[in-house]
Amino acid sequence: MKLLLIDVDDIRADKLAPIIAWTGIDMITINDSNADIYQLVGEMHPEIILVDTNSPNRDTLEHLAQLQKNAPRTVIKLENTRSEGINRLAAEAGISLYAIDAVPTALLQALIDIAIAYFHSIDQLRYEAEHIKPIIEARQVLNKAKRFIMDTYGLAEDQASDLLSKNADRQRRPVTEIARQLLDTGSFI
Amino acid sequence: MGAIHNKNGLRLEKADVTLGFIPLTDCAPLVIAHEKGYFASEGLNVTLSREVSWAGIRDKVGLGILDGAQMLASIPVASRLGVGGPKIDMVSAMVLDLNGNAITVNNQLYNHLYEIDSRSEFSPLIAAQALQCLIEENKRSKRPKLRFGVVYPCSTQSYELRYWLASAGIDPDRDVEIVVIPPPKMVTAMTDGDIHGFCVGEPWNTLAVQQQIGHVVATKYQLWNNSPEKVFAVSESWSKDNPATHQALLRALIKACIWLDKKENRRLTAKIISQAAYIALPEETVALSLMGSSLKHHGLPPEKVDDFHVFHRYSANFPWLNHAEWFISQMYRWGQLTTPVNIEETVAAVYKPGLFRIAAAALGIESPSIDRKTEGNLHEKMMLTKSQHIGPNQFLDGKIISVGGIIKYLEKQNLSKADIPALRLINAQKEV
Repeated sequence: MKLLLIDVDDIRADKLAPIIAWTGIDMITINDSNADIYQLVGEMHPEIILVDTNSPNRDTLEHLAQLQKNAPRTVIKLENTRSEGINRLAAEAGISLYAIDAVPTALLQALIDIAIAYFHSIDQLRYEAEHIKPIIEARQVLNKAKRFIMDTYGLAEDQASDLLSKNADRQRRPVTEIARQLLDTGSFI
Repeated sequence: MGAIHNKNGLRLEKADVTLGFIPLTDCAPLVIAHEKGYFASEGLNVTLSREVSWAGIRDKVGLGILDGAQMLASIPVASRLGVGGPKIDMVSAMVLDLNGNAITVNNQLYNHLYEIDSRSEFSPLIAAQALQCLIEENKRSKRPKLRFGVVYPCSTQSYELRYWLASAGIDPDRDVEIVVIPPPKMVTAMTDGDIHGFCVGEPWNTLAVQQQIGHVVATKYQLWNNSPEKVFAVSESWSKDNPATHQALLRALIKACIWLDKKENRRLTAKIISQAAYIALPEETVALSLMGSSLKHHGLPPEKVDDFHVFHRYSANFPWLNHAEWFISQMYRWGQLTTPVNIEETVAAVYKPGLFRIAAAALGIESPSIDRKTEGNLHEKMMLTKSQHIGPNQFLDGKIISVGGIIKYLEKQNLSKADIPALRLINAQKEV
């Protein structure tokens, strides 16, 4: 089975490639604005096409579907019911789906589900990772400051922590700020 | 979210609305309604989304990603029937403009036509006949078929190109090759020699002539005077869920169309819509057709065609049911639609003159009291005083369609693939 990926940028294509490869479908990526879509589809006979929702080539794909009875055609419903998946595929991943009639609905549904899940989870993970960065940084600063106190004053770790928080309380400033200052200037005040 | 009331105290189901448009001269009603604050004064917060393909616009409206959009007048009809794409139930209560398209051929092809008959310069009928001679000659010398570009398979432009070709007996599916190319790529495709001609909306024809790569051989106005071009369409379920919002949008768009139809506003329109956010082409290119100048040949002065773009006069915004019927007739003629359907019921489900009347009445504008009118019976020269309510409606081939006579008309069309007896069976009682 062949899947043609048209006008989907590398970032999204790279996300899709591993899951498509894992299913055993051949994925062919076309990202050339001058590509002759008539020739490509005519020669490759793909069963499924994933195309950027905002690709100018979409109207040409519609024409191909009209010219050839066995060419992939737009799928916006599955078994006559509105599919939340197709909607999310277009809205969140910016991808529209074309398939030949012979591709079973179950396969399409599975493909959509996994594509969305994958897109979503990767983006979510990236977002979350981005979000946690300041917290990680603060942790590192605190650890460094504690190590500094332990080395300078010969204190144990819990005593170093205590010293930091006491100073923070007294000055009504956040602990990380005190820690940062300590590392920069060597002084609590 | 609390209820949102506009200044008339009417509750809007949805105040934040996203509408799609394609960078073409006739995206003007949406852009003007936005820029002149007509949407805002209805309490609407509209975001305009620039789209690149008709299939994209169609699916996004179907999926609810867009609330509504500028659309080729034929798309909601084709989508209702599942022709040339998935079946999507959309409705249109308003036409955005009449005319505005043209057929352009490249210099080489034009020179051939001109050699065969120099009257090709001004007569679309003669140009088509010259093309027919050339095609016969090409067939004898076993030359490859000429290629023509349109923007969407079930587009007004596709039906116009086919109408023009067929007027000289050229079979659009056998004698030439028709390919689909998005509007912004059309001129480049002609420059690169990929296509010999195209039918597309402005400003792309003017651009091709200005760049001296082609000549206009026919305008949409010449093929069928004052025929509908773009409509404002929403999905049927959206229209049912948001009736007050729909009306507010229609009122704002009607106001924009009234403003657009005034000659003195056309220059400013060109300035606004040529901007990067909309069409992104030089103001002078966009201005020409808007100012009523039909540029057909480089080196020759443009023709004065006041009605090149009509946004409001001649009851332009009224969604005539018989116009939707014409699109269906062409789908049958060219074999895009083969299953017989009840034409009258289909068009009444898609075009909504009733909804238009409500919006127009709220603005104190009179609407036609009938839903269908005769086409092809009013010649330019018959219009003694320029009527504001009805305009010329002649076809290139001089055919007339009476009310309820769409099948009779279809029966007389040449090269037709329509199964007339099957259509008669389903539409029997309807015909006059």
